[in-house]
Amino acid sequence: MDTASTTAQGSDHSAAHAGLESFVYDDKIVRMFAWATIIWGIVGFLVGVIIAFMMAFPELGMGIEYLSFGRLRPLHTNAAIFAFAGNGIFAAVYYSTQRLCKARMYSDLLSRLHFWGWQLIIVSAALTLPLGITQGKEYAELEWPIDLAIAVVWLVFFGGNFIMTLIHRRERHIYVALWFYIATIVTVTMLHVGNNIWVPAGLVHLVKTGEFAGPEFLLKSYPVYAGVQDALMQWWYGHNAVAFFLTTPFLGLMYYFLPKAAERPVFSYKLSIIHFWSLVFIYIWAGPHHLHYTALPEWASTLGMIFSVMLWMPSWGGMINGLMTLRGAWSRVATDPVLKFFVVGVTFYGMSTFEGPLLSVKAVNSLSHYTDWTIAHVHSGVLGWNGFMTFGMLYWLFPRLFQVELHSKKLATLHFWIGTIGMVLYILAIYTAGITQGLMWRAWDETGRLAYPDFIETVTKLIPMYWIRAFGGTLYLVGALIALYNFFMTWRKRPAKYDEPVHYAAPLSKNYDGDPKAESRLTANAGFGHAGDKFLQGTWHRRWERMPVRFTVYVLVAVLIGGAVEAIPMFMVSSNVPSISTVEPYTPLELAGRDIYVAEGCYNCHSQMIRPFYWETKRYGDYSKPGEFVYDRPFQWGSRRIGPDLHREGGRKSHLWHYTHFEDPQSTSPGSIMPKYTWLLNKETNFASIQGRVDAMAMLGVPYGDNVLEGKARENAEFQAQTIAYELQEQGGPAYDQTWDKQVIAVIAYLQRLGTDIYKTPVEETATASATEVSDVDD
Amino acid sequence: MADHYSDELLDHNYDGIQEYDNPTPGWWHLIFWGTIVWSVVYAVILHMTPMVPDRITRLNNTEDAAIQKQFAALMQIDDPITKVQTIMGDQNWLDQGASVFQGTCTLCHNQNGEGLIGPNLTDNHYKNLTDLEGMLDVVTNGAANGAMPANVNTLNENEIALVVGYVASLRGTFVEGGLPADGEEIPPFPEPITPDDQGG
Repeated sequence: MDTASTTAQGSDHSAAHAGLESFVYDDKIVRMFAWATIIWGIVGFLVGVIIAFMMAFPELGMGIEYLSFGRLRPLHTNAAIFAFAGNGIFAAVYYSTQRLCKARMYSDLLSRLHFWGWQLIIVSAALTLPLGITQGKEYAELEWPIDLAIAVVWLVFFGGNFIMTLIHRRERHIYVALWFYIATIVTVTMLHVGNNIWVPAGLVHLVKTGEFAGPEFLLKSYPVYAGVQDALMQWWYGHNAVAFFLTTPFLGLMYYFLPKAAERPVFSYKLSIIHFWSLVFIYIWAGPHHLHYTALPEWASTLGMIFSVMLWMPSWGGMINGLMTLRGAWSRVATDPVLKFFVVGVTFYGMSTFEGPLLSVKAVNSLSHYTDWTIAHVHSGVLGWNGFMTFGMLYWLFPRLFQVELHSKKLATLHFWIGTIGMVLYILAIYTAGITQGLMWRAWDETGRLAYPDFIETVTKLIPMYWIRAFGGTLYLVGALIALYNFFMTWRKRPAKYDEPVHYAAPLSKNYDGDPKAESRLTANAGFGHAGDKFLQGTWHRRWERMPVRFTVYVLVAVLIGGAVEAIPMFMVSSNVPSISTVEPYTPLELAGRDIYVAEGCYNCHSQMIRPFYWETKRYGDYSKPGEFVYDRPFQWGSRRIGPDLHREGGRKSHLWHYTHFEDPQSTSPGSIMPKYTWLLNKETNFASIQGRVDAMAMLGVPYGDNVLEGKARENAEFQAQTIAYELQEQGGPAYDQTWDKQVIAVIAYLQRLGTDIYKTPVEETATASATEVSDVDD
Repeated sequence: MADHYSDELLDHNYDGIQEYDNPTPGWWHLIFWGTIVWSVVYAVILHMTPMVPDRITRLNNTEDAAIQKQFAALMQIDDPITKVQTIMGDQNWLDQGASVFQGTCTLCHNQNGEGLIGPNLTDNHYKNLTDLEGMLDVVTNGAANGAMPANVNTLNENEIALVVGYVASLRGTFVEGGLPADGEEIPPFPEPITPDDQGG
């Protein structure tokens, strides 16, 4: 065991154990997280494979609402990120931190609370998301009680335990892996809290009125941000979830496990310093590149783009340090599956972090945005980088945690090859699909006609690619199942009792004067130059490395700057969201319909954001303006158009078309891959909750008139529902008394309202305004 | 792998992990500083000089140019009915009308106008209209309480004329599998005006 070799290492005392403290590492918690990683990984991959097959074969959901794509896709992303990658991170942190600090975790209780709390959060996600309980923001779908649980488990149990371990460490300096863990803990806390500030509408309603309007309403919240601001906050969060949940902790993992497995020194300490600080400072600015050409002001979009471009080298610093550390160990890569996984993992990191800046360039993004190209990019990151680094770590850890040889090195190598082939098939198929569809959307001829005016044509073209992708994903899942078998067989051979070696190390003395001193290497007589040269030698950083609390504060400052520079003007300067006088709040029924739209996860396939390009305005209508979204909580701009954009859907089709389309999308749109939404036709609208919804919006400053406040919202909603149901009947639909109280009517009310406000006449005669009048909206 | 790094070990040792004192590669610095300089130049040119028009101006320019290119000939005809007749008489215009129809109407009237949720457009019966003028009005403002949606906000005047011309041309094609006739039989539409009629 290599742990034994570290015993009493670094001690200056010659007398055995004199003045030394003894400690035992807590490997049980690592074993728990390691099992959770592989088990949740398989769940996440399985759901991914299921929804991948749905793209090629939409009937797979069998008309069951809990199995619809819009509800399962968030389950897949949350499982892959927070359950698989999350538990993998924790296994890495708990194993390496103890050894890097020469200290057991500060509190076994906090470790256990962290483990079980996190698993409980995952289980509650797996229950609530298929039930349609969601905040409707990507990777931040979990509703407010789970948000609170995450904050406590992450910051108090995990963060508290971690920082106290650092404080009680017996190693003077903290190693680069720990810097990355610090950045992870600090920044994820900031992002999670910042993006999840809400009003729990159902709870407020219950407390104020004593009325209980159903469990799903009790869990419902509205974000305090609306429209453009909500979008900015969401992608500040969303992008930096990639940065600080899927990048920094995995770099920390790499810095510990890769040199351990390769048994080689880390290539460059200087590079560690410069790429760490440039990465954490620059990453946080990059979020707005998810919102190019949207209603987000262009200056913010430009910041998102240029910081993404500047991020290229800081990211590659990690790749260089990873791959260059393998110098002298390449011969072992051929025989050691752990190193194989690490090499491919780090290479995929390099590819994704080159592709990221490329996709953030506005011109490239105009093609890639809303297509599968983004999906391909994400999967090369998660399957290649996060997945393979995690598997490499697990193959290295299992024999050490269970103190027995790995059951089969051959199976591990087989897993590596199956996983690699699956991943490459997946990614290539989806690249092809994304670029094909992007080019089809934008194709128009010299007479101004779209080459493919029918959206479905651009979908059916991709179906063969979707089969290949689903097959590739299946291979990746099979690889993980082989790993599970291998781990299980290894575990079966474990000793009856684990050997728990006792380690000895001296506590850190209060006084330390070993800091390196920089001497200016300049010979010229220049005071400022000398100072600069001393700074460039970086010895000051060595001092920071022995002060983890101060280090944490510096990291916090570094990650606060970018977000603040982008967010503060967006909230304070009204010219960023010019108001449009005819844009009014949703009616109570439309609001209820919108909440159903959010709950069903429609945003997973439909955008509500028409970009200012000729081919978009031609296909979808006038481009979207910031002032149109001021009542959208949450914003629903979406990130992928599996179906067409819906921002100008209002008034485009009859109620009957929508009704028929929900009942059977293929009947109105042959070739459509949208599943049937028959339950919308059968389930009743929760009219009892509507007053609570309106009141919560009013609390957030939405200017509702007296006619829907003070208990009148329900009446208002019922009247509108009956009106629409009657119109539906007139158009040849079912009798109105069978439809008016169903969810489909509320959703139709919302859809028919979408994007229509800018065409209303600004004068106060809306009741008589005829449809022929067009308002002069100033662009 | 031979390279020029001196691989001097630092006195760092963390659980057995050591670190070299190697410098950051030169090309790394070069590209990093290159991206920073490029970013500043890009932002200044885009936002602080008039060299690149903003994205809305670019869109408007494209739209104006496209409309000019596409509709210059149509825009010279003032009378809306004459315009529709001209479209009916020219295969090129009809193709463009078919394209608008594909993007807007097929969801309800089906691929060839044979009817789906909306009525069959290939027979001699029509709802809500009795002549081309009425068809222009129905396409523009909708009809039957939203059963036929308005297109005033989604199509420009010329596109409406194009699609009306195309739909008028579908009359009497009796596409197989079409919905049964619905509405009133109306008098024939005026004859198409072919390019030859215009003395071209």
